[in-house]
Amino acid sequence: MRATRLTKDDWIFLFAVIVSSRILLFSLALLYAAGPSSGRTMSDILTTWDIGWYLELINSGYHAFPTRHVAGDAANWAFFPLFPLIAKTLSSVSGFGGLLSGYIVANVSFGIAIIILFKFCMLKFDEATSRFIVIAMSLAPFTLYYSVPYTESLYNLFLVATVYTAVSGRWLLAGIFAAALSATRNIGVMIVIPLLVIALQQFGWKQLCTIKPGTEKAVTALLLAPLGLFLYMLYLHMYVGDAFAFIHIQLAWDRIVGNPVTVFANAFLYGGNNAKYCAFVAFLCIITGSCLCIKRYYVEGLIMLIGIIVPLSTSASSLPRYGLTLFPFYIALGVLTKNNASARTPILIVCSALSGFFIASWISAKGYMT
Amino acid sequence: MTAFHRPIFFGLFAVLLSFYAGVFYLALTPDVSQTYRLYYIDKKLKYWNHGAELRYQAGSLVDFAHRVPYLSRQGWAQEESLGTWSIGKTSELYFDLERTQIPRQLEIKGYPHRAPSKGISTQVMKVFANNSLLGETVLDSTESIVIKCNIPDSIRIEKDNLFVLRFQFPDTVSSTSTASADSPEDRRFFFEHIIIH
Repeated sequence: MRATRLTKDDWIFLFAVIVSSRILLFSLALLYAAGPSSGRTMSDILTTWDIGWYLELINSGYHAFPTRHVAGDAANWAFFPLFPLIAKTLSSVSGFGGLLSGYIVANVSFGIAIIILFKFCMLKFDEATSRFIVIAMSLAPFTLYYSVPYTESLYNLFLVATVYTAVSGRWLLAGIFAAALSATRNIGVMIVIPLLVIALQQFGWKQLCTIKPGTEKAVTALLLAPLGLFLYMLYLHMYVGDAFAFIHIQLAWDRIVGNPVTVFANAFLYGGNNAKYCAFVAFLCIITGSCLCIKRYYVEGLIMLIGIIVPLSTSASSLPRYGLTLFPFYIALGVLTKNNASARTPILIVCSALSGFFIASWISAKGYMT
Repeated sequence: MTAFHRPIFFGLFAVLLSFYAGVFYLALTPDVSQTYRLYYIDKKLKYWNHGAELRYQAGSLVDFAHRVPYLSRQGWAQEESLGTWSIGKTSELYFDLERTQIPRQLEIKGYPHRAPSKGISTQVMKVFANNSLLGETVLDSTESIVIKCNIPDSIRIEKDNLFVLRFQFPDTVSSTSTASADSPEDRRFFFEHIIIH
């Protein structure tokens, strides 16, 4: 497939979607934060949950030794380096503080991701469906995670960039984005699987396995994908002596690798309300991924399934954030409403309403927003 | 893609694969402290304790009325004012002994949760050092007792100077029937102190 060229109208549309959705998000956040019921200072709100960890990473780098949490056994090794590195670079070059740099990186990543997502959708769908998909992602219930200093925004950017460049045959670029993806989050390395599916769709088993002429760039991309992860592992070995420290330190959060089915069942059957909610959303995402695969959107479906099942092997917590910020979820909404466009407006209204609810929940540091 | 480019790509493949293999080898051979390895990698240790070493000086008292850094992740309750209860069938302790320290005798003070009576079977405690059985004690009273086990010379200190004590509380069997102990609580042992001479 050839890369999509955008028209002037497309650029105006995309700019409007990106800017207006962020204005809406930050306006709602500021309004709620300024209210008497929020009970938290602006400083607390801006550094909610994991933002504190990323801010420390941006400002001070990785811990040499575990000292955090009450048990003193936590360190920031579980947080992958690319997002804080980019924010740190911006901070050094611009003079902005680490926190502001983090917010800028997240929001700029969101904007670029929306543009690339639109170009990707135009390869597969008509213009109306493509526009619906990007609007849905911009007004999504969890759209706030694209604008706070978490890795969701950067991860989603590299994810859609990898898939788009691979599908449009620009394999070397896809490999670079895939390497960046694996340096953004521990699950990023799993992009190898969807990339392999794209390569097989383009070249076939025989050509690819024997690296026939014409497949070199695709194979390079597949081999480049783990590079980000392995560079981080090398750094961890040299700095703390344990290349797998990013896995081992998960113990401090009681995350031990187990059977995703068992984890899901325990959360759904025996967990509290938060656990049940996380398990339900995980189930929804698995259904979404499965339906995408059934509809022959194999790459998108695999991204959803991997994006939920792998984290589910350790814990059900944070699964809504992991699953509902992946772009294939919104592609699934587009596929669902392809022959029923009248359903799109109600879906967007519901998304916006939920988005407002979750923004308020975030401001209030509700436990289900971790 | 010309014939000139293919060798460059294959060279790149070789470099990447070699790099990944090298890093993977480093990952399999971590250069960390014994405490880090036991806590994070093997997941055997209960407390991180700020990464403090598990060094033990022979003859010193391990008082279970305070937090004991040598406890295994499984098999121990929270410490109480006079000691610590074991939980379940197996409880372990990990010590870092200098190779110059050759352990000769183990002294354990404590008492079981239940004494045998009608319907309650006999409690047995097996003591192992580095997987070698030191002895088996029948716990037929809830009075505090001192158990002494000789440690034979054949028991070697493992690599990293690790000395592992394991206490097993196997399924008890009634002396008057073939029924086994009905509750895990019946298998608990209250450790007051340990000394390795």
